[in-house]
Amino acid sequence: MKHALARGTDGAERPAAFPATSAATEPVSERALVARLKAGDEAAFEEVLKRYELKVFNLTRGLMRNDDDAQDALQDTFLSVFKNIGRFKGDSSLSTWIYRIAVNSALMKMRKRRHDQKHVAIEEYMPEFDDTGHRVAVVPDWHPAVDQLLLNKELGGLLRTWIAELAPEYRTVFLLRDQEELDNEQVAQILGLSIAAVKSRLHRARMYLRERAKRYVYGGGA
Amino acid sequence: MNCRHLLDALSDYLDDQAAASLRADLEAHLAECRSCTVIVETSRRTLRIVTDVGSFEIPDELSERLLRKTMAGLASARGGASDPGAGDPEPGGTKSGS
Repeated sequence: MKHALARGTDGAERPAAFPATSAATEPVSERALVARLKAGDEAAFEEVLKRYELKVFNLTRGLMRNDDDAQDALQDTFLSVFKNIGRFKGDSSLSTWIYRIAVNSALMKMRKRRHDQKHVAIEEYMPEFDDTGHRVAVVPDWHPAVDQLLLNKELGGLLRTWIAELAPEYRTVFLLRDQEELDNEQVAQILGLSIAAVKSRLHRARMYLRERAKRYVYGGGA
Repeated sequence: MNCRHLLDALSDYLDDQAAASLRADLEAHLAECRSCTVIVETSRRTLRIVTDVGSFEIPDELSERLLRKTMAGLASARGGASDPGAGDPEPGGTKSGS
């Protein structure tokens, strides 16, 4: 079999341990990719970066409140992935494992900055009900107002800010479910939570964001 | 089915994960409750905006720096102890929390 050439970090080309992907071949399967990583194949490391760096950056950028911390967490994540690939047993998918490391990297950074981290009191944004289970307050319908493109775009930016103001236990679940579009089972596996806990936190995060949007559209303030 | 019950099931309903009988009950309530209909529609709109806002972009410079630093870090770490910051890299374990 003719092997493709891979460029190492020193810039030299040498035969890849395994054939590199190309437009003419199928993408490398996850199992093969992990095997290559464990074998120390540098081309495999580059492949992993290519596959996952944007996903991980979106997650860390959502979790952290600034670009610098997000970039640090991104770097810490992949360094950790490559150092610890020997411990990956394949009980979960590679992406689940990488997401878990990314969340841990970000949470560690957040803990170091605990003194300047303020979070919203999510209870203030939860709806209230009377004894018969009906809502106490009238619910204004703001979504037609948001049909204006400008307001829609404005809300998009504000939503990112409001997400960042959530306490980490809600922020992680929301970002993994509604930004990264993972399912409840995957999120539960990544965070070491029960599915019920994932659903509960997701629900509260969604209610909070909906309420903040309503207060913004009607109250004029973020 | 009242407003509180609907709210408890809202996320499953939005995610199309409500069982058929629950879905029927929810929709029967929605047909009679304007407030809950608004809650559903504005929740959907909020989530759609989050999706529409799109992803962040990685600057090319960051991507290149990430590759260089990761490879350099890997080279220096080879033969050393595994990173304690990774925690337990295997997901799962005890299910907990609420």
